[in-house]
Amino acid sequence: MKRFDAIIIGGGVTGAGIARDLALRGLSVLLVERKDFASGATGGCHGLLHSGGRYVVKDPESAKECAKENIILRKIAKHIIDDTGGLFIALKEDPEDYPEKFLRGCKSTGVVCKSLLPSEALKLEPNINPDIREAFWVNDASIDPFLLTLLNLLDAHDSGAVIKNYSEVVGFITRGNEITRVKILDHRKKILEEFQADTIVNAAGAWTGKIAALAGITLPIQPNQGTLIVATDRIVNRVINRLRPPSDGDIIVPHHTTSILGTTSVNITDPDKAFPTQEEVLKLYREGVKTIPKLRNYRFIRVYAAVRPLVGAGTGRDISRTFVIFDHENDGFSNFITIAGGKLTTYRLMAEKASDIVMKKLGKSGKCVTHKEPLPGFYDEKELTKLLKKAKFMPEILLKAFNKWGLLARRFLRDPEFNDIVCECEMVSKAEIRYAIKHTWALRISDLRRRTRLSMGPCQGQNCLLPSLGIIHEETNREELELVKEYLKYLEGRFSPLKPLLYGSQARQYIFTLSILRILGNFDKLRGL
Amino acid sequence: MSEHKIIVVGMGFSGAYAAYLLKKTGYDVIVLHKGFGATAFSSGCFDILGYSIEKGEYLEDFKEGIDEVLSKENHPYAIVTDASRTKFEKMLNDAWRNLPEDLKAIYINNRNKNWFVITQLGTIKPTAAIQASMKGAMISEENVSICITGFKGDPGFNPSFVAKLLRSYIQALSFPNIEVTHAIIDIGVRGVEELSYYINIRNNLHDLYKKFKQLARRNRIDIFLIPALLDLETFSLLKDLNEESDFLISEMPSGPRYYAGFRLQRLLSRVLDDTGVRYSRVKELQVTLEGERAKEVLWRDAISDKTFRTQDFEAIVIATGDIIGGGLAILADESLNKYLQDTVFNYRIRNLGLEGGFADSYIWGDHEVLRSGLIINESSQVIMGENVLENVFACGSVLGGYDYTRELNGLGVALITAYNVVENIRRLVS
Repeated sequence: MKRFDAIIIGGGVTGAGIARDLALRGLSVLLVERKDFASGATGGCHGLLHSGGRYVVKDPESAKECAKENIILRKIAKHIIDDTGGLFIALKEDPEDYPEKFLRGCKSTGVVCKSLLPSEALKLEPNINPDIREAFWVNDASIDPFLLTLLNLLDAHDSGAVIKNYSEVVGFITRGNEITRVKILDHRKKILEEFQADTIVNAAGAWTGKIAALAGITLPIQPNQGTLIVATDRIVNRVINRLRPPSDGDIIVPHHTTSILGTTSVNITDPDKAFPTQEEVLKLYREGVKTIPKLRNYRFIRVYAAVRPLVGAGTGRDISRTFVIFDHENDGFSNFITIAGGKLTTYRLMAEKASDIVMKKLGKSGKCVTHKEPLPGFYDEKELTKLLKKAKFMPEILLKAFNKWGLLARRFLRDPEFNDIVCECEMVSKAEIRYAIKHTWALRISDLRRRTRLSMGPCQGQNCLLPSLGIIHEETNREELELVKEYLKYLEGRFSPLKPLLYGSQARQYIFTLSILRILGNFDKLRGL
Repeated sequence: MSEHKIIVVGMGFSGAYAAYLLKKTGYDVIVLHKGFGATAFSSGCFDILGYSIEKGEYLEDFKEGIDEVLSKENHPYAIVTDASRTKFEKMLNDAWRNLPEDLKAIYINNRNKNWFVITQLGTIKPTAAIQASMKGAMISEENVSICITGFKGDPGFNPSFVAKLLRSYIQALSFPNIEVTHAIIDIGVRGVEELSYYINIRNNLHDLYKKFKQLARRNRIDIFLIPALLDLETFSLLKDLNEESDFLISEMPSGPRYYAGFRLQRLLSRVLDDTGVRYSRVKELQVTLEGERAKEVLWRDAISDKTFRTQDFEAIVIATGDIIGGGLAILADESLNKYLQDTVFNYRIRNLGLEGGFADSYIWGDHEVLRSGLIINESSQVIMGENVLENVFACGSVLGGYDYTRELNGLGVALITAYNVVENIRRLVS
């Protein structure tokens, strides 16, 4: 039986960060994820690299962490960061005393911020509500959460870590005050495996409570649902925050070809049952329209909900967004820790702190290097310019690939299929899909979406998904009927949360896709097979 | 004597067909349209009735499902035929017979029964008439060997996967056993557009034909099926080549990346050109009613941006299509209460209580929105509230009472209702 220094449970950005941190410190590491990587809160977030501004008033600890990590991530993950900058704007209806508190908070937490005249802000972002009272510039940016997770995993893998998705922890075997083995159900091979480990790290996000329960431990984790809606196009070029205490629908983040509007905060009981409610969606829409009136003219292409693992009790907004590490020594297990809470922006810090504890428990030495070691694919602008100059044709496909993968794109751009574009909205080539399946553990359609942005554009998979099923079939040998059924289910999943916003051209596109599948595809017959 | 003037709004299948017939009758016809709609994006098949909702089955003989449809109160088939099966058959016959010759020429017609045809997605669908270039896609009892063929550089079509899917589909639905293989032909071009350009050059076509010939000999293939890539002229060249050989190159009904529907749409505009119907593209169009008559039509031209208005017309035909075509729109008020609106009259067709969206079950379920639309009387005059509009007629998918995505009868309804409109306008004018 294989033995590891550490088994990490959870393939979100926190788990991935810990795997990388420990692997770089020379430990043998196994990371297991129940579904796909970044399929929980990581993939369901804004993809916002916080400046810290959002928390300066209410949650200064979080703000400090964000401000520090913001600068570090810009150094190590520059290639997947879109350095947009951000604005905080106060509308007439927002609390009058807040801007002053905000400025004071920024000063005391070290969050960089610059005061702007309303006219200056409008010049930068002409689409925002012209009725603004005050505006500040901050150091926000957008970052691809899927790739951030994946690049951490790829780096861990290069340093010898074993990475498994679709592997669910179903039980622990304990001896005395230690967990000695972890029982893992491999959903790919459909087998039950056991692995030995000296330490266990529970980084299962909203599911940390469920994992701890397997060892008989009760955790004060509150699953908290956040819903976001996505509009086509970059309506703004900077992250737009409302200058008021954190509340629903107060942030808009430009992300690749889209704009993401969020979020809400609702406590739920079962993290597996997160689903955007109509109330949330309408609320987001109404708040969004207040910040950016032009939003009315854009098509919404997606609505999704993810679950935050908040630590402590409260209604959601009251709970601090900082993170907590539970050492389960007091609960009877000396080699088991749980990490929860935190933010995408602070994932590296969380990983560092958790890894320090693991090292201490193992009695090993080895310092954290993740704050200076760049993530795989890192490049500087000069290298990219050189490569683009060399490209004979279609540099935009190249640029798009580099925006996603950094220098890792070099691994597939010489493939002749690099010019066969399957997804025209997001410029995803056949070669990229094959690379994602072969080298980044992708298995399902949604896995490819997370890695390549396949079907994330305006058509939402209407034209690109069927041809890409063929590639999945060729690379994984999965049954064709099974794949088509997965595709139909996938489309359902994409469309059904959109219900509250289906009108105008959005409804037209939806009905068009539906008609193709029904009239030409005859697919409803297949569903029943 | 001044000519009778008729305004047709919409240039999809039903609008174009009505305009053609009206012009042939001797009226002065002008077509105002907004651009491509469902006809252009269709697979180019002529569906009359393909599915029985009650039985939950595809119809081999669409007459088996016609009684079900005729028994529905607001179904266009039932309205224009007085729910009479004999009348339906006669109308279908007449409407088909009166189609422009050019258009009839590209279709193989089987109005008594449905054919099952292989689509570009690897599935099989029932349809009453298909474009002649798609002949090979029909499933027959004969024992044939089919080769799903794609072109290298066309990432939108994956022959090996389509072939595999088709095999499972045939097996699962117990269609006759057909031998299905696949092939990719490399002619050194990239992308669908480049490919169709390449094929459209006569010499290239001959070279391509040789490649098919080699494949046919080596693998004993009877029929090659390709996505609908060719325009009609090229395909007629290929037809000549086909006639000399012992194998067949055929297209499949295809989706939006390909050209089967555009081909039909283009043919329709050519028919209008040949018959002398004027058509122009408009940005906005508004019909003013006075009592039970349409009094004035106002439109803004898309090219000149000028506004025109006229009161000089005998009748107006609404053939704007449903939501896909842009004739109906789902709009939302400030609090996102949704309603369906006719874009020509700004008329709220029915408040659907759409708050919370219309896809209540899930994407395969029943759609109130798709069944919504204008309601007409047996003379195809539009009913608005309590009133029957004397000189306003409607045809095609702008009509309510049916869901062509489920019943598979889009062009069938367009054909019969357009025909009925013309008959009744003749009656009105005389």
